Amino acid sequence: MEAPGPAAVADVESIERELREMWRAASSEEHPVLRASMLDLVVACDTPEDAREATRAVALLSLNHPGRALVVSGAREGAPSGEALAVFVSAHCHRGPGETLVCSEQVTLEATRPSLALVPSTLLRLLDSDTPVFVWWRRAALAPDPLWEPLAKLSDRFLADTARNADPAAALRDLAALARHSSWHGSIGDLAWTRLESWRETVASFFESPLTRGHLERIARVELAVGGPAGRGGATVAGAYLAGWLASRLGWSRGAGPWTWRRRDGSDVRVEVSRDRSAAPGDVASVRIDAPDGEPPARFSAERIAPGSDIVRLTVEVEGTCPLPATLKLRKPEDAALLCRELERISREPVFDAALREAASLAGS
Amino acid sequence: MTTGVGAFLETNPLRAGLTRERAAGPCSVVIFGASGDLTRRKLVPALYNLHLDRLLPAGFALVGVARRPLSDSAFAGAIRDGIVRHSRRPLDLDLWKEMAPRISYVPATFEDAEGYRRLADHLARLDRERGTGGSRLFYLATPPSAYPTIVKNLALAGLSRPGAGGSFARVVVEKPFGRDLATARTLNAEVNAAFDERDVFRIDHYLGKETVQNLMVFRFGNAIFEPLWGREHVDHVQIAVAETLGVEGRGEYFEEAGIVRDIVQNHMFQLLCLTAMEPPVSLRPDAIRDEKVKVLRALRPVPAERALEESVRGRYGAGASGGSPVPAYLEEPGVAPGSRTETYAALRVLVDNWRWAGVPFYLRAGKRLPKRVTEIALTFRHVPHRLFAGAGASPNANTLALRIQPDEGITLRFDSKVPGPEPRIQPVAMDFRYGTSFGQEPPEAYERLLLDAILGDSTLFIRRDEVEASWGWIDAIEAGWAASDAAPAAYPAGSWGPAESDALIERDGRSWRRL
Repeated sequence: MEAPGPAAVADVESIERELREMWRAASSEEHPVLRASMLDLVVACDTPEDAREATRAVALLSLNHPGRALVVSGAREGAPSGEALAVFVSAHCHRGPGETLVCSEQVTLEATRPSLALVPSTLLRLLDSDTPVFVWWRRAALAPDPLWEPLAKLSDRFLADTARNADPAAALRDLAALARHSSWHGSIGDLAWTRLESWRETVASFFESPLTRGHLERIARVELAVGGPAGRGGATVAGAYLAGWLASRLGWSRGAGPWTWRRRDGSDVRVEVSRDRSAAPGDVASVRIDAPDGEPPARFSAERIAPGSDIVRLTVEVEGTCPLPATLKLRKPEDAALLCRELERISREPVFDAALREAASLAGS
Repeated sequence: MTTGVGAFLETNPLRAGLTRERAAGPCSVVIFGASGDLTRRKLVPALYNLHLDRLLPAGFALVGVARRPLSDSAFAGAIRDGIVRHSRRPLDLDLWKEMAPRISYVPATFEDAEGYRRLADHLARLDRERGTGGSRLFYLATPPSAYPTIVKNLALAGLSRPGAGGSFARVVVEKPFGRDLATARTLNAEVNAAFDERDVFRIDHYLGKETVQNLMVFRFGNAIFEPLWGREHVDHVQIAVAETLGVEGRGEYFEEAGIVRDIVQNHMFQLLCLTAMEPPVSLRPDAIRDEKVKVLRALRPVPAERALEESVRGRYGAGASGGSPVPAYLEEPGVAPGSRTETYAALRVLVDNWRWAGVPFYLRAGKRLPKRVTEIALTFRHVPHRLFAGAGASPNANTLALRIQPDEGITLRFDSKVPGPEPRIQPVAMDFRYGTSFGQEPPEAYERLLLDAILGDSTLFIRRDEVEASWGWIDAIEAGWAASDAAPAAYPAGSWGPAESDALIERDGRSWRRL
């Protein structure tokens, strides 16, 4: 539910006044409106069109993560180049307990290129006090962008989506550099990583049984079929993250060649990444894991039953036993659902950080 | 098979960092009483929702055991019907196609030893064909009188002990766990003769509720409340479990139980424990349960001859509920004409330990009350010098109320100045509502508890010594009531209980909260 419609205002005082007026007008004694705020969400977009798409996700998010959303974008076509920021306020509402209307507010800022420099100071004034600041970065480039540094600095958690990036390898490296930055104490999330969670979970599930757990130390080859643009060295974001994740979790050290590692016992592991055109960028079509020197040898695979299908067939083939096929449904998560998951985390995630380091080094290889 | 894993692989290293850091290993879930109401309404929807959330392992099978002869497909059809009718989320046909082949049925009476041998053979076949890994979770969704027979026969069939390769054999037992201390001890001994105590999961679905679990987070995850949580600042605590329903066709069962055995001994004492316990040293199951049992052991015993002074029992008469006339308890089907069973109880409980000495806990539970409410409320002491007494300051002290159901949330009541030149004071409430801050629908209690049982996490289940300690206290109250000729105090259906209950708390200069 959107209420009430956006109104253009000029400066920060006017924005605050407009927000107060909006709440006063929306609330009555019979139908009180409750403003809920658990976070500040700054969304950085390139264009007003992208800001509109982000707003749809923000509206969905406000149900589970009420707060103040500050959506920043470039100016719309035809806006005078010297004009200051154009600002609009609106609210996202849903029915809460009883008859209460629970609302989150959104401030949308459109900035021409010259007024882009005004954005950080405006945002600092508009942030709700004492709530965590999440930055959702949707702009094309990371480090080269003038908003990158100030927005990263003010964030408690910085969220990107490297799979959507024009240069995913560069984006992975920029994120890894931010994670290493000594004076920044926030955390990082990447929707490209979160998007892989169901696949990571599927792979993890192969080794839940005590009968297959030991095969984790006997993996010799991993084949990944993934979608998305190729980075340098053929790395796609999904491939780099999955390989980086396995390597960091299983204690592999980098081998002599690209995409090769050494297991903890010194044996070689090779990861092969192929591009599957039926898979969307950042998505996975299949994962195959070979543990030929396991006792007994075993092979694990998870693959979509048809291009683009939600249904994934899992097969565990342990030599000397019947193969155990199973199927499961992996729903393709919407951006809002991915973001929702990311907003539930605030502190650094060592598993992600380690996978990011590996993935960034693969992307540079 | 690669079974000898080093310390590095004691837990699955790929599981770390996932949203679901705990995942169930392969297993069969075997439900005794598979054709019953609990299975259809609670267990089956819970398992389906776990499957929907991908929380069940790939090597999973569901086996129903009941007297009625049924084919696997007919049983699967009944399961499907239960999901369609009672699941919080609708049936997904793709997922159902994946789940249906994992469902099977073994017709057997609980006494039939041959039936258990067939069950053992069936489970061994599932291990081979479905990869269930030799692990079994037996869920006893049967009348408690059947528990001893079932566990004994499971033991005789060799099903009550874990097999090789890290597999498990666990049993889930529904309340009531006995009807007094003696029967609880006997039942515990019978169950423990078959299953190790660490493999016995006594379920109290209240502990699966998100708000109950939040009690520990609220107390021990926030620095500001715990220093106030004790005799220095708390005047008294009220715990209420109010139901609008009557006995709803369960007259025969309720006649045997009464509200004390049905609600107080289990649900309310668990709430009492979570409210009064000391911080555990860790979140390990036994660390938490050790602290809970210390509370139960600190309850000041009430001699049977003083039971009527420290407690009130009531029984609803005819009245109205939600605007409709309802019959008296004695007119409900299955209720004996001369029944002495209570449908309402109020208790004054003292916890004799360092933290709570002298702070009464008032417990009240009843059927056919005006509202359905479960709540824990701490009333704080008054300020030492009431400066604003003449300015309309509330005669009631600050109260912190934790609403368990419905409208789950936390409310802090305090006094505030009314704007204006006069020094006028009014009480205001600071409200936190789960539904406002967290829009998502929480899982059903049975989902959490079933998953925990599969995972072997016994934190939210009741340990043997907890059961016995709570019965030890309740027995004296029951004995005092049994020794009295007086009938339970009457209250009209739709009221807040008998006048005697008001007198119990007013005698201490306090009153029940308006819920």
